[in-house]
Amino acid sequence: MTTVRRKIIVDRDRCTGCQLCEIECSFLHEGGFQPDAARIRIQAREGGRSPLPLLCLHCESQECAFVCPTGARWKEVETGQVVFQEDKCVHCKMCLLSCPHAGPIDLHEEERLLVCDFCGGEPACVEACPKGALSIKDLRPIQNVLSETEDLISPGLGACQGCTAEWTIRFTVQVLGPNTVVGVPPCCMGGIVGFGTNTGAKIPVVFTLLPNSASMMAGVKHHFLRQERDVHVVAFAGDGGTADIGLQSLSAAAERGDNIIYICYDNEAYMNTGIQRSGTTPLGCWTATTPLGKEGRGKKQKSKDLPLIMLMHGLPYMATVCPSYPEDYLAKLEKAKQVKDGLVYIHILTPCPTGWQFPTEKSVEVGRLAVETNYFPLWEAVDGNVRFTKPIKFPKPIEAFTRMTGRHKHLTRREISTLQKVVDTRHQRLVALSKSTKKGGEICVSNGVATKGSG
Amino acid sequence: MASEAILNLSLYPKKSVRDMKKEEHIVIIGNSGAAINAVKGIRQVNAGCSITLLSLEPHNAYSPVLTTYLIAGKITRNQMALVDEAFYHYHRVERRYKQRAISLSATDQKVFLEDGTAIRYDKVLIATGAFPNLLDCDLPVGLPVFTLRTMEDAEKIQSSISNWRNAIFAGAGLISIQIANALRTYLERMIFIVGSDQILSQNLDNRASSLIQRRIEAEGGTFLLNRKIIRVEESPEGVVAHTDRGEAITGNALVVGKGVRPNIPKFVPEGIVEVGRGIRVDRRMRTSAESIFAAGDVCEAKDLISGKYRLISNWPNACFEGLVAGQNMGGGEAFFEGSLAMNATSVFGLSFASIGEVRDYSGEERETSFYLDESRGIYKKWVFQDDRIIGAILLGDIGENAFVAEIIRRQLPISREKKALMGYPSNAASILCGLL
Repeated sequence: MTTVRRKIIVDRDRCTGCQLCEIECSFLHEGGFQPDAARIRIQAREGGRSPLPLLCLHCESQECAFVCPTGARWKEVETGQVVFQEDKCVHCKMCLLSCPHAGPIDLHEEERLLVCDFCGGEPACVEACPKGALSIKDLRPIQNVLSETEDLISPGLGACQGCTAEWTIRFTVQVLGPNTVVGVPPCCMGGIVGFGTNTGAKIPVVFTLLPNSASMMAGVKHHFLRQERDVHVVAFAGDGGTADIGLQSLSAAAERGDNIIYICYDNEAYMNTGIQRSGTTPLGCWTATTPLGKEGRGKKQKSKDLPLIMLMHGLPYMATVCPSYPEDYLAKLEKAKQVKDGLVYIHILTPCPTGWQFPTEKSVEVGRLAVETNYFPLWEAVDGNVRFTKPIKFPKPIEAFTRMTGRHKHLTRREISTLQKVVDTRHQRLVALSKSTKKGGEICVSNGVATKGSG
Repeated sequence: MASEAILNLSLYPKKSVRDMKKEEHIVIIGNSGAAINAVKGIRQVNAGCSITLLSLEPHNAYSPVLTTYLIAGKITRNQMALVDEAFYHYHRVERRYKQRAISLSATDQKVFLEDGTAIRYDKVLIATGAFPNLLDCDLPVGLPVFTLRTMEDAEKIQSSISNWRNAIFAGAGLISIQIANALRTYLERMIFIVGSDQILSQNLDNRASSLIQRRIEAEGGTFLLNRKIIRVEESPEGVVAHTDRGEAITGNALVVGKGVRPNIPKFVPEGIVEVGRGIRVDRRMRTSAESIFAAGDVCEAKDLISGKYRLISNWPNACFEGLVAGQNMGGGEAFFEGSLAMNATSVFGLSFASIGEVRDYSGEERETSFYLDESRGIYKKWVFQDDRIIGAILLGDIGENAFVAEIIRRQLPISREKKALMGYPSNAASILCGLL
């Protein structure tokens, strides 16, 4: 028996109603192509909406198992599946009344009940679906998923306490696997994964220069392409090395379509050299070069919206990530691994206890608040189509985020409301982009208005 | 094995030192759907407490839903079991069968049994279920008059079926119709003596019931509506039932299927526990007395739709009430959303489902729409209140019941779908499924 806890996930928007899943399912279980006798049902919908696949979701609430009077249904703790023992069933219809997902299918003429049995681990409907409306999700906790792979960064490295960037590179390399080369310019991580001729990683690390991380790693990728080896080539640079000094080489690599994964871990200042302001330092923020005093009220300028700059390059895949949401990052990295025809850009907000001035145990909390206040919305874009991965229905006021960190402590109410306006405008722009590019086509901006177009 | 799979003790919270010092003791009176789900609920949140289960019957839990299937011979007695021996073992339930609780002291927190012993409890669950309504008139002893609730009842009917040709059914509720359906191959004639002006009056409206009535009449059933049995006598054939219209109907047996009423134990302390038609409970299945809980057919919870106390006896409600009661008794916090009248079954080759309020109990006019196709035997009715569905009857084609029950349970506002349903009541599945 497999001990994997997995689940079939239905993406409602993708179903076209082709019924291939029904055909495949009935062929496997009943030995004939009878869509009516399948354990999955494609329900047509009124008003031109896409059809709805209905099947047993093997849910946690397991109402059917609680009401079944014969004990024909129960939840397997090991596999997470709701098992149905057909010879015990007397067709009393109690489960039909209590299932909230319309999972069991009633063949009332034959007095039979059809329930998804997960095909013993490899559901045929998922394989049959040509549009990806059905997919399988791993339900195990993320630590169980990752415990199977090796941690490729050595323990005991010299990052500050509570550093989220250190966690980020550890996690990234662990997910991407040993078949990876990482390029790191001079930045915090330069000191962590290696220094001089020493390296703290169990994979090859290339120390690039600040302006050329993207182009240098593109060269490394070309080397492997010529050798016909499929290697993940990752550039792991800070915000200074990306938004300020390295921007031209990144932009050029994106335009050329070099197949590297460019990860910008954004701690919103040059932390490694002593917390100097960078292009992504937010408005009103204290840094060593934007001090507080009689005149100084922190940084006077707004930050660069780097993810949007990269979005306009029309990359095959890009995403924003916060280490407080590791499941979200894992899913995005898995998608990034699949891309073979262009540059992947991942922008990670890494709260920095030293530079942002907050207690070291609050790193995860600060990251969460950045997302919950819409200061740093989590989204991804496939071919320029923006989709929110953690939409926040009721965003918290930005003050919830700024009062956590010492770098923002000095802000007056008026300054906070200015920052709030910046956050709101940027979020509204993203929402407009996500609405304007639903299906197909790249984003094309004409007269400052994002519209749907062919490029 | 079912119970092994459901229960994995490692998932449950470990006993803390504090729990060890003062081990809670939970007493459950009753052993069916509500009681078994209460055990599951307790163990979901509390691995430490000890559970004692009292039952009048000498065997493990089974569901009264299955008694008609037992009569029909679809299942055997062994297959009736809701849970097996291992379930009680794994959930560490001490069983005391054939034990009647005779009194309960809320101040001392003790249950006194018939054999003189007393059990101290920290929390007690009354899940004694219901028993069938009997005839209003007196019955001479020794007549072939049957009711159906327990396994013994079913076995009594089974053992005497062989000499049944004509059977009289008092009442035409779900139980009578299901028994008649189970025995249809044995019986030549089925006579239903019905008090109201339609059959299945608790579940269906008159259009639906007349469709079912016609189907049963085609199979050899006779319906005498608006009549009451006033006297039952012995006859050479079996029994004679005299109605209040002066008819004398003879048959080999009389089956009383007039619904059930809560089996409120005599020991329930009056004045402390609020009792309406059943034992009244709040959303956490607590009675008005401290640490006394009630669940299942014996209790009267608030109705999901109207929000008023209403006695609804059906199996899914009992199961969920038991689960909620168990989680609350074990120290967790769970809420029951409210009981919902629902039933689905097939009799005489006709499937039907009725969910929510389908009849006007309050007398106020409700907005309804229906679709009737007599040639195919399909009837669908939707009952609305404001912009919500509050009831549905499906007959013949019950495919939609999967959506409808959930939509009524969630009380979703459906102003747009309502318009479509008023226009095309037959096309409900495609209209409603988008709401899920």
